[in-house]
Amino acid sequence: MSDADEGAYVGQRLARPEDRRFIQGAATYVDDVALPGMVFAAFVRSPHAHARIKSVNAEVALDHPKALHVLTGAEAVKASHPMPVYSYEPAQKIEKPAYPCLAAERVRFVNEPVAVVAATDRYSADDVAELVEVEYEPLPVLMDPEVSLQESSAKLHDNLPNNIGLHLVRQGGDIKAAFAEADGVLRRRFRMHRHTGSPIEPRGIVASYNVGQNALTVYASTQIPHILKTHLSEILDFPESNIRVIAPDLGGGFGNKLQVAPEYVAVCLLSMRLGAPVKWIETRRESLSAFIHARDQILDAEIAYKKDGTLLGISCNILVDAGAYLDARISGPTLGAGLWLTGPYRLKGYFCDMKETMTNKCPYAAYRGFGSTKGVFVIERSVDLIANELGMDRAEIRRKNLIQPEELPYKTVSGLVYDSGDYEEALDRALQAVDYQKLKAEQAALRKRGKYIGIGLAMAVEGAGWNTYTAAMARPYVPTQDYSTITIRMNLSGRVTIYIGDTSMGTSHGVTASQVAADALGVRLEDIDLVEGDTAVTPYDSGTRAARFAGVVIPGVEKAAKSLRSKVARVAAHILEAAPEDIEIRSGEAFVRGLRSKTVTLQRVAQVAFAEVWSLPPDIPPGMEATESFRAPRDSICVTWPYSVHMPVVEVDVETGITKVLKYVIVHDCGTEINPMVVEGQAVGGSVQGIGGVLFEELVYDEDGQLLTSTFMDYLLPTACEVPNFDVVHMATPAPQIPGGYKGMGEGGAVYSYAAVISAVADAIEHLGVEVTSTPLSPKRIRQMMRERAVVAA
Amino acid sequence: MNRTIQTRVNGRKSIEENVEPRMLLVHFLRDRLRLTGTHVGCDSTNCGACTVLFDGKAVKSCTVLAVRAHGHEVTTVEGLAQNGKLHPLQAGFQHEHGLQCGYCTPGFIMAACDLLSRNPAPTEQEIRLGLEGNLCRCTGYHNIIKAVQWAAANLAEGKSDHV
Amino acid sequence: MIPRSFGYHDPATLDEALTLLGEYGEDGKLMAGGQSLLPMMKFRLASPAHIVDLCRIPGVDTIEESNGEIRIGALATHRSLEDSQLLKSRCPILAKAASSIGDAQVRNLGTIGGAIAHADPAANYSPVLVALGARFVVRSAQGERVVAAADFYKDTFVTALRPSEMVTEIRVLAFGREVGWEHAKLSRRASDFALVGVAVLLRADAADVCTQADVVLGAVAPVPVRMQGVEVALVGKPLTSAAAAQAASVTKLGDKTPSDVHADAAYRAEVAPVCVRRALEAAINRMTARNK
Repeated sequence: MSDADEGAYVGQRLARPEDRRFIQGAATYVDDVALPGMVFAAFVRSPHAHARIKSVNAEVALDHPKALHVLTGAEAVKASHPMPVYSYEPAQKIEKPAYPCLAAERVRFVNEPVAVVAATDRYSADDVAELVEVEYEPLPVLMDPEVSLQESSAKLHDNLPNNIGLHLVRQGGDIKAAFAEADGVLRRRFRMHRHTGSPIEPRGIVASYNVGQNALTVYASTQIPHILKTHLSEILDFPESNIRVIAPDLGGGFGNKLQVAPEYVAVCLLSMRLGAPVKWIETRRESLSAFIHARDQILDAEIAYKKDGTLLGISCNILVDAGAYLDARISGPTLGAGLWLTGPYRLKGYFCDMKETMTNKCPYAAYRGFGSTKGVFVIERSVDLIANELGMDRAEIRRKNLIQPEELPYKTVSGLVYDSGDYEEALDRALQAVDYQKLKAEQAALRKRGKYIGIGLAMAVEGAGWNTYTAAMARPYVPTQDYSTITIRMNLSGRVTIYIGDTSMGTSHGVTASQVAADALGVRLEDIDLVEGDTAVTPYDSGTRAARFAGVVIPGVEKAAKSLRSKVARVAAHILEAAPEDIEIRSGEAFVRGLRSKTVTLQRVAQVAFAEVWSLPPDIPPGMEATESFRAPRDSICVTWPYSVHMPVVEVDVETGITKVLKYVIVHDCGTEINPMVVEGQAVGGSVQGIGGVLFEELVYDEDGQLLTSTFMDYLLPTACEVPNFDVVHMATPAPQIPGGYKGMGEGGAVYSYAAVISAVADAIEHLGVEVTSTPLSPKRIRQMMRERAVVAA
Repeated sequence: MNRTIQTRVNGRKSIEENVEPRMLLVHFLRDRLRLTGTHVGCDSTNCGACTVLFDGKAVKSCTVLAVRAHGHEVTTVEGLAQNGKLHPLQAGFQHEHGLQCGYCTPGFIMAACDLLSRNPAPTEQEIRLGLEGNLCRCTGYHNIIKAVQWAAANLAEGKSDHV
Repeated sequence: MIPRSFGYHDPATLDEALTLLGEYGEDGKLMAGGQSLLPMMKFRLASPAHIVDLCRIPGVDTIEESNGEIRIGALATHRSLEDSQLLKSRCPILAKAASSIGDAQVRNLGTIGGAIAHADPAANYSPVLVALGARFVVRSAQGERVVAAADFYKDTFVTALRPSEMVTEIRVLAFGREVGWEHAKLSRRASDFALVGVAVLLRADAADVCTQADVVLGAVAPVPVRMQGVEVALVGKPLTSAAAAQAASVTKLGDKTPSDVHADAAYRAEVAPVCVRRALEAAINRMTARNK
């Protein structure tokens, strides 16, 4: 595309220019960073789930010819503050359990770091770590979140008398009236198991302390370069102005890499001690056992309904297995589960009690979906079960309760304010795309032959871009996510660079930001570059999270590009001796409207703005740069509200318990689409995380707190063989409150898909007399359900 | 005892001295030759991010000792583009949006190289099976399959894109 | 995830390798494809003081038939077995078993000899080789002996090999379309180890009455287990799917059935008969197809 008209790029299925570096092996991930004099770190980790540290002896380790330093927990605790924790509930007071970057007195989960070593090379660092002698006194282990709540249970933290890390209560509407009106109440215990995002690139950092400048430069695999900088400053008591965080190419994050990693802090301390750059690259085993766990919740729900299928209210007690420490983002996945219990439905009453309990497991935090995955699972499964109870079709009961377009914006009883769309239309399109009636007939015919296919159906409204307060707790100075600040600069060559303070984690920021900026500026796509992730050159930003790029960051890009455009127009008008309002800019040229002969290239415009400044009128400042901020509306917890209907079709081999996903239909609406190919990529990729989460992935601990699934041999990510082809149907209802109408959508795939795949498996086997209310739906579990059914029947 | 390793990597002769026998091929490529396009994503020969061609066959370079490469040929993703032209698999991945974060991509491309060299016109199922040794966490594989199909069609026609 | 240091030897001949192995005894370890050994070394679950790498020894990777016997060099890769035209026509069960080991990259390096010596109970080859009545040529610097597959596997990761010995050749009898066969593995993902592995070989007379049945399971015990009850139930019966179902129902696992996170003993016990039934049906279908 070289001859772009206005609006020519937005909406097109364009290949990503940034792919050039990835497909040629020329990208820079953190492990690709090599600094002169760089040394390597390795962690000494606890083999126990719960133990007192009696002694740490580094003498033998330091005798290793390539050992440089050993930093123990006791030393680290003296040199740093604990890891941060904050709440999404403004008035929430959290008793913060101390979370040191290296354990000094007690270890509380297997593979918790207790010391870090530095050696001259990667290989020797492993050898040295092995030589550090730690003496432990094992303590009783708490593995069950319900047991953890019992009074008689051991306490994991001195300041948490009940092992409760966080307790939130939310309510809305009239829950009593809703249940009083009910003909029936569905009461179920739902459970989602522990699993996590597992980006293929594990965590990694290169920390480089410069003694002369008293400056710390950190290359880190992170979704939040600026916020990491802020936290490092606080944890290390080090001036924020002297810290530079660079997030290079990020090999996946999925919310896991919102973590302010204790290991990153320890590596910074190591670099400051040694005055040398230190690299640490996590192994997969470390990643699976000591990074971030997610999803694991028990949800006891009651849903009131009328016999005509009208849903009335939901009440739910949520218990979150938070693991050994409260991660900074811990409250989000909990609150998200609670708030999303209301689905896209009209309900009258809502109550939710949410508790986070401490156990001797790896800490728990964000994974794509940020809580909503569990809420959506509960409401969608409940709607199916109510439909079964009433003998209604699953699509029809939804139709009856869906919020209608004319009711939007609609405030749900849990307080979400949905912005725009047509949920019923999406449902209809999905039913049509999957050919629901025909499929149901096929299903019935196949059942007679002992072949069990299931048609999944789930829908929800995703919240994209959270604008919650991140207040309370120790350090309240963390910016909110609902604004963006963007700098955009035209260089002397006429090329344009956009500066954004987040980092693309596969989220295609390069192509999408360029599409929007190219249209707004009138330049060619190939003349735009994107610089992200370097806190020294980009404006402060809360990072890549919560699907905020399209709805929060892109409007900022558009605003900054327009601002730069008006500057270009003023300089061009001066050169062409015309009025700025008569200037048009297209394909990298400025000209007087209707007078194509009066044209100047943007390169020439830039030359004048930068180098012939004397010729500019006094009211035009030199240079060619604009910085603009976009503030999203704050009338709801999220900025935009994309939605989707997912309909997978599965076959369950009931004799072996193995489920195969045969096909998968997605109907989705994320407002104005910048690049439909990117949108599809996000929707499909997220959905496969749902397939993985429901059918394959599970973090399994034994009763002693040892993780049994600490490699990719046992923690099973789906491969190309385990997933189907996808059929994606697009709708596009613009976001009413966002210029351009964009809605974020990156998380949703991993929200809807869980409920949808669970629903599909349930649809395949529930007629055999089982009920699906928990995950994973692994072969072993499905067989177990079939066995238990046989016993009940007998 | 450390060894001197002479290899041909991406068509170029390379001599590296003082290589520890325990050094893994992936670290030899990344840390010694600074060919950082080959990545590490697991410890257990599962993820395939480290896939390279060893004498033309796809192997996981995290599970090969570097000393074994002495006297052999290794091709990494950096060696695929020829005379300023992308390999059709590289172009296919870009064209079909077969990558998001890009971390697994070089491994997929190299595994697909082996697949297409054995089977120039694979069916969808053969592509899926041929790539079972590679994990992608972003794309859901849908577009990776399309990328390989695109490459197969374009390899057959001898077309490619300029770098 | 770096192996501990070790002494490295890459001899050019088999004799040299066996001499080194004899010299180092328990401290030495042979490396064939390295696809099982190296991951264990990276996790530091295995830390041999000396590695004798077989990668520079030529000629131990051939696949040939002579007098109805197929001889496979121990260093033949899974991929070469999978692709072997000879195996596809003369011992297709082995080609199929090879084709579903791990993934393409692992098959490019992993060898049949290495897999046999590693003796992972969930490996593909072991039930097939026991069913085929394979014999392994085992050599040391002192000499050579031949061990039957059925006598070779002793326990999880334990074989009849002495520290100074290596498997150099695998011998199986060739067969043609007169044999109905199947190898199947039930696994979580396509590339995973078997939760249950089944090897079936059936022979029948002209009237499709079973004259010989070999049914061996993998992954359900520390070593491959022959399902004698199933075999007895089949012999003398017409090979129909009813007969398959009836015979499969006799499948019984022992008290050493392993439990792991993916499959507990109860699960294996429950699905093993299903796997046997399906494998028998596939074998019967292959056999009936020969007549068409």
